[in-house]
Amino acid sequence: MAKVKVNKEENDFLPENPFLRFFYHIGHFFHKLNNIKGLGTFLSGFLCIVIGLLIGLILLVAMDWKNSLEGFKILLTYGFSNTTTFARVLYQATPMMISGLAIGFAFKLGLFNIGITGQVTAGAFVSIIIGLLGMPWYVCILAAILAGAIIGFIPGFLKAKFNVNEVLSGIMLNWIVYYIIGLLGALVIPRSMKDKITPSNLNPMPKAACLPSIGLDNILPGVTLGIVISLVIIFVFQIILNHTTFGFELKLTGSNRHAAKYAGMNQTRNIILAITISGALAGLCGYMTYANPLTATRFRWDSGNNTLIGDGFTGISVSLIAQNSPIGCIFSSLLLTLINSSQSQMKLASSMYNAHFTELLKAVIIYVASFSSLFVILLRKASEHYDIKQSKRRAIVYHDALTEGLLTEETSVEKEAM
Amino acid sequence: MRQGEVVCVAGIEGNGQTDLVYALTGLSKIKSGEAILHDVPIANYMPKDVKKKIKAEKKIIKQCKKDGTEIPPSEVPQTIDVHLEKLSIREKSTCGISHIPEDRQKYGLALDFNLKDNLVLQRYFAKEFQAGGFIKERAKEEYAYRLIEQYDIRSSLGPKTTVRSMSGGNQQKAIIARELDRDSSLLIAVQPTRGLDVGAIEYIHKQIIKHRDENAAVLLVSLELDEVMNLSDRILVMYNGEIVGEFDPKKTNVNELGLYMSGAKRMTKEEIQQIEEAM
Repeated sequence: MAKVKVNKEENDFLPENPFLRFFYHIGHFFHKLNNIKGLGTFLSGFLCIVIGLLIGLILLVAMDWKNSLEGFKILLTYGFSNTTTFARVLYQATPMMISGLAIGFAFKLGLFNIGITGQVTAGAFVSIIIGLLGMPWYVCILAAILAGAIIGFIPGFLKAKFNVNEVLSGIMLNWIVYYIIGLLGALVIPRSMKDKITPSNLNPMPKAACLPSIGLDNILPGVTLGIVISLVIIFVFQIILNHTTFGFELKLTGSNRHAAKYAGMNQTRNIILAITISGALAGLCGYMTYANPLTATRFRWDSGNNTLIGDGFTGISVSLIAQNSPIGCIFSSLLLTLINSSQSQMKLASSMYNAHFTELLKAVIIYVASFSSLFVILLRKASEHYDIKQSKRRAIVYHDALTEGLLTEETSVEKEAM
Repeated sequence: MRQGEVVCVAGIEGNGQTDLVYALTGLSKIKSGEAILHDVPIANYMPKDVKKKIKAEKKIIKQCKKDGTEIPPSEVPQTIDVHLEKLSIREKSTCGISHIPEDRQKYGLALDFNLKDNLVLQRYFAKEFQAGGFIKERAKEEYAYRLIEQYDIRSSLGPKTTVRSMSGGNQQKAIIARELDRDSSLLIAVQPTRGLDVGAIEYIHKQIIKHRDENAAVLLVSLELDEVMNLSDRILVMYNGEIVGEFDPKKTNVNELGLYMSGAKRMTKEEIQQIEEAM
């Protein structure tokens, strides 16, 4: 296809009406954005957060409009106000990003790893026991990953071989792990303490088993090697998902199961591997929740059943806001912990704002995030609309140029990607 | 089927042609019977016994070099016959079977991916496109540009186009480009021109004939009798899951085919064998 030189400027493609010209520029902007890899995902996630925060602001105004701006400011900035709170934001986000990654990774394959709670709890419990036995932190990490992977393998295997719905098997396994830990815990905790187990009675993780510090203890108390490990793992998984054949297989199987079969991909292996890896990550999250030396998190023990409480479901919210992207999990987990940290401070702005407001706000953001595919579609439509208008306009200009005799004889043979 | 011939399976929809193709390509399991692909080079598919033989030969060659004796001639066959019912779908792809599926959006393409990913759908693990598990995006893009140029696939953004936004004809051209470029010895094309305009149909017919002329075997399954009569060297009619007739397109006409397709007439196995030997 020969490219024909036209002696007209690029601006002649713009519509004359200034109103339409404005919309043209918006369409052009979205079109450029859509072509940048990954930006569409980021934008839709970002839009969800902004809209969620706006709704939160409206709620603040509705409750007490005089102090609403003050309340909003505390909400967003308390986490940054001093180094202790910022450190808390960081070290609380560390296990959350890994659990978000676990959910998001399995979701690339279309699998909903709701058994994450069982995997987190199993990883936490095993690492606690190994830690109490005096092993150093790297052994505890390996034990946690292994425990999470084993518990994660079960729903994966059942799904791959017998097509058992992984949500059902995951939830049932959550409860199985819950009660098994109750049974095992009874073996570990001395009989005399069994009735009065409250978190303060239990020992925290011994120092050797906790994550080592990276020298930031004075500036940011509580930030350990954990955040480095989390960030490295997230970057590794980002690369695996976008640049390796394994990631390609996962995404293709999630997008179109039939085309994946046609392409010869081994469904069984991929399903089992994806959920097992997800479980391993969940186990790591479980370990990191309890492995902080400076803020000895007492084991959250459910005294009703004498069993450990693990939290995997926050990972679902993290992953949802992050549009299942590994790097997005970093930011969404930071956002959630930021909002969490201002929980007790909101009442300083107004007596109407209490701790429940932050829970409400998180719920609103998650709710809006579930509409995120709408934003992706809107972005894509705006970009396509621009594309069509552009080609129509180009056709008109070339036609005019032909009739006006502005086409030159010189033709250049060059491929032009429109 | 022989190399360099187009065999067409004609029949009314729902008489087993789709099942036949799914069985051959592995999308369905074969319960009984066998399908053998002859003369597959061992570079494409190496069964266990051939691997053992090659290992043993390497040892013998080493020994001979040490001793200084003559190296005996290799006993390893360069091409083997492969039983299709025992292979996985991936092994069949690498053995040299291409499949243009009936439902191009369900099986043939991943609609949410871009064109360059779809053009290497069955080959992304080949040495040209990955190194140590890491995808070579440049190589994929160059390959996609070549196929776009060669097979005239129209798309808005070139290799980066999302396939969902391409027209049906261009999606089918992309699938055909992918399958024909793979140097396959057997091409299975099911309804390759369904829902396309005249220009695209003409083009696809040319490509299929060109593939046959490059010494491949083509199994065509089609509901369009014009296509069947124009393209094939041999026509098989299927009715109720059985082959009920074999024809030479030069010696038959659409009416006769129609009679066999509706089940009004059928040939016996001996008659079919006689016709086959004659052709």
